Amino acid sequence: MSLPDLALDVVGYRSEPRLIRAGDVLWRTVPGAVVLLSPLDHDAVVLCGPGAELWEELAEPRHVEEVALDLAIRYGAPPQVVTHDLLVLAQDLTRRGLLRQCQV
Amino acid sequence: MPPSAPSTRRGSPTSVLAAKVAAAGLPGSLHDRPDAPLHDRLWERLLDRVREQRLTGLLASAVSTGSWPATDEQYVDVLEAHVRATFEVLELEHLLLVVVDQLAAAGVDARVLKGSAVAHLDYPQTHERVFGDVDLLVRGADFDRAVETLVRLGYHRRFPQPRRGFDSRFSKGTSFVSPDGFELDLHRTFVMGPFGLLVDLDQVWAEHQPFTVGGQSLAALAPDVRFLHACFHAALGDAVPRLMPQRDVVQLLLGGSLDMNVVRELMSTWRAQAVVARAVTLAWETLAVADVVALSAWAQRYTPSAQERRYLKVYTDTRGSYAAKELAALSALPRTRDRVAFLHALVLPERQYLDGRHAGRTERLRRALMTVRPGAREGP
Repeated sequence: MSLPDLALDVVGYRSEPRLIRAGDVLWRTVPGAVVLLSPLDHDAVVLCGPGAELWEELAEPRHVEEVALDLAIRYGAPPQVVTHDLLVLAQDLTRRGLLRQCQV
Repeated sequence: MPPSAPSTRRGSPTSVLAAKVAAAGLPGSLHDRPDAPLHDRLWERLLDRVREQRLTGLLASAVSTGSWPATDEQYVDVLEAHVRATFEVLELEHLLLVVVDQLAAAGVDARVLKGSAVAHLDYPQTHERVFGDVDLLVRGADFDRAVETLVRLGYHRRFPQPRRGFDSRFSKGTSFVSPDGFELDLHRTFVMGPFGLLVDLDQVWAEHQPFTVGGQSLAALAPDVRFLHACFHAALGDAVPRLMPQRDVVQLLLGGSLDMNVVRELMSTWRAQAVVARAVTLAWETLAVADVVALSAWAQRYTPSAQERRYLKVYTDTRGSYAAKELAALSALPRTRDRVAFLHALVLPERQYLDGRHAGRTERLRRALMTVRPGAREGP
């Protein structure tokens, strides 16, 4: 069973399509966090912990559930909890123009 | 002076510590680090200095890797300060992208100086190079159009030019404040005064190095020219040299991307040997760099001529005035008619230039001449 399939099995659904960082976002990795400037409202967004790792992972198109499962395994955390939190975060980042859906 | 005896040891405890922060992460620095977390009062003073010198990135990296001892509270302090500084950097990069785009639409080519360019091209950790304004270089022929573009975008010009045409022929550039309160410096050359006028701007514009910010391609100076600009900024930018520009000098010189034959040729053509020697010596001493490279060895031995010492003095004198720098620039202008136009603009500026400045033209000339006259009284 592949990781996405396992995520599907554990969480019950998978976001479609995959997500990737929006190309025009201004951001910096600083120790312990990622600082971003929202292109729509110019608010500061600071991602720490799993949020920062999600940002790093989405340099390439990925399903959020895949990333969540990777992180859950890495940190020994419940996959449902991590997936739920990251999906909520991803939704917010997409709304702010920081992530975009990848059709390919 | 050998690098094992950095002059910063003669400064206040905060200055000494700030110099150590500025050297953080440099493998060749002989600066030691505190053995234990600083006590609260000293830490607060250091953090203030680090914010003011825009060193939060270097301190945050040093604390997070454990190379600078800190309590948990101090760790949070510096990360918080750095996140704030980084957010400002991102806002400035947004401003940079908008301005470069608008200038391009007006047919004005621009080169990004210092901050963002150096952060992206010369620092292995981009976040470590914090900056507090945007600096752009445009050609003299495009200068007035660039000013018009910025004014149209709502930027406020801080000081008018002395006379029409002065900016595009003689000035270093001018400063603006954005509608959101950010500073943008529009440059025609690297610095005001004689050393700025000696820079061959055709050589500056001959090549560039691209870099990407927010998916948009921008143009920085070519590496060798960028190094020389870093030297101008470190040696002449402030009467009391700031730490980040000195770090830039070391970062570029030890970064391995310079062609030293080109650097030597450029500094010779621009008669900038004294500038480079001062910048490299200062940086090597302040950051206690142990590495000896050909240019650092040369800089240690370099003896400025009498004219170079006079030129340097107008930049390094803490009581030096704008007019003193500009009058010292007279001797750097090769053509008589340029000297006449230059002096005319300074002595008889248009009325709006005088608003809020020296009371009158006679007083203005008197002050300038007092400052640059050889053997002028040195104060108390």
